[in-house]
Amino acid sequence: MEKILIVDDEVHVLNLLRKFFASRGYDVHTATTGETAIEIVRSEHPEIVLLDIIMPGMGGLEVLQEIRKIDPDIGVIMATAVLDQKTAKVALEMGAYDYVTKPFDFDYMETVLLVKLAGMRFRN
Amino acid sequence: METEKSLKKELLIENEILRAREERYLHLIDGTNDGIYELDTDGYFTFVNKTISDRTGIPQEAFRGLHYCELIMPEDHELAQRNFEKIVQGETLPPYEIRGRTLGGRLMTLEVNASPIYGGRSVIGVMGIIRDVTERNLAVAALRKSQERLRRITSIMVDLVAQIDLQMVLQYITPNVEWILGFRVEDGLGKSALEFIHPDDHTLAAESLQRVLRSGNLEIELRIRHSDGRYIWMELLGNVLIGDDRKLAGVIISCRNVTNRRRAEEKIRLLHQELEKRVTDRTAQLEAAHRDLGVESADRMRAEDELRESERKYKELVDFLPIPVFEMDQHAYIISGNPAVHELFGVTPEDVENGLNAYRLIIPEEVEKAKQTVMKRFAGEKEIGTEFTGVRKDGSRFPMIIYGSPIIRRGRPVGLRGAIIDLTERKKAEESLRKSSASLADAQRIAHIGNWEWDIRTGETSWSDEIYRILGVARDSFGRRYEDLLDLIHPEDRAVVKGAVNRAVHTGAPAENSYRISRADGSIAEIAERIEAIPGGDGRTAKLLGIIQDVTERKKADKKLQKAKDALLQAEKLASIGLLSSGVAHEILNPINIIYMTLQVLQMSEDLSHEAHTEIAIAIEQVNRIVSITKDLGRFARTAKMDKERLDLNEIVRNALAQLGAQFKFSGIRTETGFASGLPSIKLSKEGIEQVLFNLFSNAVCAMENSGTKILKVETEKANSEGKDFARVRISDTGCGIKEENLPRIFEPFFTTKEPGKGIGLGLSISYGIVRDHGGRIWAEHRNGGGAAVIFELPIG
Repeated sequence: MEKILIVDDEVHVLNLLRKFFASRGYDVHTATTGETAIEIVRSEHPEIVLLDIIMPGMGGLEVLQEIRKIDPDIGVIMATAVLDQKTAKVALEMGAYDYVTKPFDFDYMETVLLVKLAGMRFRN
Repeated sequence: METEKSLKKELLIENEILRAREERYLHLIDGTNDGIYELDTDGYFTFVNKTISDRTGIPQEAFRGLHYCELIMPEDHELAQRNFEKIVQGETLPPYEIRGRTLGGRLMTLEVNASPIYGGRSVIGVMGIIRDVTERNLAVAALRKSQERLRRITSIMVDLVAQIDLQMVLQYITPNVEWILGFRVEDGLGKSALEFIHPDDHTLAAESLQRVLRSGNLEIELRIRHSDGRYIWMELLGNVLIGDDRKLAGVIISCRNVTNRRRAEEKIRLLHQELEKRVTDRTAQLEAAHRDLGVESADRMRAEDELRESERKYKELVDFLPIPVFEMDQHAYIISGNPAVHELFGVTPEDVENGLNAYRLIIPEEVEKAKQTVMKRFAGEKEIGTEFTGVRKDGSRFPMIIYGSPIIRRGRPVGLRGAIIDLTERKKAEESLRKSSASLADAQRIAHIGNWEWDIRTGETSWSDEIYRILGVARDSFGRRYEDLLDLIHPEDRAVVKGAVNRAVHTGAPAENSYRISRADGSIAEIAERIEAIPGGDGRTAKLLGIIQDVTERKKADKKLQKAKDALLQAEKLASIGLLSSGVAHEILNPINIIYMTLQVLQMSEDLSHEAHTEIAIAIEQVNRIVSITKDLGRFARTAKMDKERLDLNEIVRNALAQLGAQFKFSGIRTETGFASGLPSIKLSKEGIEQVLFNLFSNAVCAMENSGTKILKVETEKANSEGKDFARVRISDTGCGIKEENLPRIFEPFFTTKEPGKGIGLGLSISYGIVRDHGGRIWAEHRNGGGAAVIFELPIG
């Protein structure tokens, strides 16, 4: 069972994504802050992290950096409402696997996830 | 002897019987009321009974030897003698009366019934019965007297007495009828009483008879006919008459002439009536007078009270009055002055009491003038007030004005009464006013401000000097009427000025307006005006005060400034919108994200009906619209970050036209182009400028949708503005054009004149943002001949 971590400061967002991914058979973990997210990454070692860029406190890019330090193999997909190519570019340069923009389209997200997972398995 | 004895005895018995009989008679004789006597033939009493003895008071035995004459009044002696002799001679006499007397002298009338006493054949004495008829005779005499009196009374009495029977037939009439009614008694007797009664009173008479028969009494007034034909008012009083048979026999009526009484009564009634009337009238007069008097008196009292009160008030008022008020006599000595007078001249009430001449309160140079003024006042000449220089007790001087009026007693002036106004402050104020007026005029000249006053009631106006300069008219030649002013005002602005003036007059509220003046030299002056309404005593506007300022120069500067300001404002506004959009996009997209995902979760649910699925699909579609707008906004905000490179602007325009060529053809639009030659390459964002061009083309297509002629003209040129070179692109159409009021707003985000669903109003604001990011500017104009033109320019270099 693939383990994923979803990080967003909006509880509703977490709940909805959890609901969707759980229904697709994923083991879903959630965090509302960057700090919590890093703890969970350390304790649970999720294969995929869906990471919101703009969050109060520790921002998405910082969290990405920490995750890359813990385990560079974890696939991090950045999620953002900001249509900022520059930010997206920075995130990809920092090692993010992909980025999705809000509002989230479940089908698209699942596709991105599946592609990433397939790539990781292929690599393994 | 026997016989004698028996005889003697018999005689004795006989005597005894006789004596008894005699005794019995004597007893009878003594018991009767009549006097019984016997006389001898000589006229001496031989016997009197007890009655005579009692009446005369003489004892019976004393009558022996008494002659009857002794008891007869001397006047009747002869009569008595004569009758006695006749009786002695055997004559029988009827009873006769004679006046007798007692021994005491009391008179008695005696009725004598005497007869002779026979002794055998000869008369031996006289026997008589006497009866005291004194009482009886007195009664008879009284009766006779009474009858006589009655006769005499009836003959002279006013009342007529008549007796009628039940058929009203006259049975008896008193003789005075003759002089009362002129009839003789026999003329009336046996006739009906009605014959003598006025026909109108017959009914009353008949009714009265019935009444008297019932009640026993009659009391009426009727008209009774006199023999000469006139009728006399008579009062009839009646009593029923009962006959011997104890039945009603008739009525006894007493009639009295009441004509005089009635006349008198009528007179009295009239007099009474008159009196009543006069009393009523007089009472009314008196009441009215009383009332008037009461009112007058109340009025007078009230008036007196009011007078007293008013005097008191005036006294207090005068004392409290800060204005000096005085009275002086004809020699100019102050009679009285209120505290303000004392204060003004520094004098005390004692000074006044000791005799203070008014001319000492004026500087010596003006005393003559003062005297003349007083004379003029005394002559009745009126003046508003005269200025003098006053002198205080301490010698200091001050300007003042005196208002005086003569005190008139019995038609002659005896003094002067007046008020004094201390002009010290006013003079100071006038001086400072003069100074400030001069300053004001200077200020007005410098500031191009003029002020005017307009008295609406009198039509009088006053203008400050600067107004003439502002209006470009000469002080002497200009009429200064409202109409003259209106003539100067630019025709288009006259209505505005009239409106402002009317508003100020009618509402009393200040009004501000601006208008143009056409000066005689042909120049136009821009005027700003402020009007204030001054209310009169009745609360209505009496006067208008106005300030006008020549703002021509300022307006010119203002217009320039305004343009700059507008541009700046627009730029700031759009910039802030851009900043805002970036944040807003993020804030909107987060909740939208939740809604979007929720809808997707719902959509996955298998137990939803087909309708629910359809509705969720609609919701998702609408969310996508929001996302699209938000992303546009985000793009608007993002333009600054576009990469720029040096490119040929003409080439970019050509490409853009080519890309949309099919759409123009489809819409029936003809394109005309005019490209400037020799335009240098410009550092620009291809993507951004393309977007601007697409937006402007798209707007032009929409604007021409309903136009007959559809021409899109695109021109480029090199322009120079404020020393800088610009490449300018002008895109004009023959569409519906832009309304004047919309011109400043078309670049605002979400401003659109398109129908809902055809655009959200971000195209021009995104274009604006892009051009601005290039350091250029974009604006819209009306195209000559209809339609609109949008021009943008980008800096070269």
